[in-house]
Amino acid sequence: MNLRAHEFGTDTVISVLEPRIDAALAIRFKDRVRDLAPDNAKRVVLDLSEVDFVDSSGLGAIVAVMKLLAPATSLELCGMGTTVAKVFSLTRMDRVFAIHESVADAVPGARA
Amino acid sequence: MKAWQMPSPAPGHSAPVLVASVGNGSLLFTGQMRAEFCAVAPLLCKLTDWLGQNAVPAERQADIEIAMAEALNNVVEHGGLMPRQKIEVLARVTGAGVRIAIIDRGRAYPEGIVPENASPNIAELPEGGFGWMLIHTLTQTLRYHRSAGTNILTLEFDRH
Repeated sequence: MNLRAHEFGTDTVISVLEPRIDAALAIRFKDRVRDLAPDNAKRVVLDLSEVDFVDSSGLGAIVAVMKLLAPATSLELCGMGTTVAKVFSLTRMDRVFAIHESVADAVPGARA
Repeated sequence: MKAWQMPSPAPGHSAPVLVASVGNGSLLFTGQMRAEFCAVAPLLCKLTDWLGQNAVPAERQADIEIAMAEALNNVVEHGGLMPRQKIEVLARVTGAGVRIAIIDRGRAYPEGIVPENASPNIAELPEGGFGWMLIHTLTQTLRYHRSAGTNILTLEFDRH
């Protein structure tokens, strides 16, 4: 599970460098994001720009991470491609997350 | 219901994917996978390649991939199959649609029917339970048939 974290003050951007977050990877994904998220982060922004596909298990893992980090840290999303965005909108989970166009939109001053 | 012709078993073939012309000008996809989660993505990759070859637009390919991922994950998760047991996928482009059958020899569906289209309550921040809702939403028709110890789930999509 290839993830990369960058801290920008109290914000941390975690880029998912995998083409899929699916049932085969969901548990590892959840554990790795939790390990990478700093304890003192106010926001963790999950950068999905390299992710082509998320199934409902992957979606469930993202929701699980949000619940693990709350309330001290809020999980936000950015860089969703059209297929990933479709899964979020069909399940209406797009209403649950703050969703940004890009890392730069999510974290002003960050250079992706 | 028009039955799918059961494919003949192909022992020794781990992941053969054949694309062959069949009657009335349509093209047939046949694939098979081991009953484990890590086998889902490679099969979907081959299926979407085949859809592209048949001029199915990218947006529809995405719908099909989303629904098929859920349906195949369900078989792996709930079918009670050993990983070495195979799940077969047949697909055919018809005039206005794409018809796909998932064939497995796992457990019968509860009550012998497709689970209904129920959405979890998002206010409860559910971590699952979206699979059948996605499948129902993205398919034109959805049929389940059980015979001779075999499950056949047939999903039909518009082609365009």
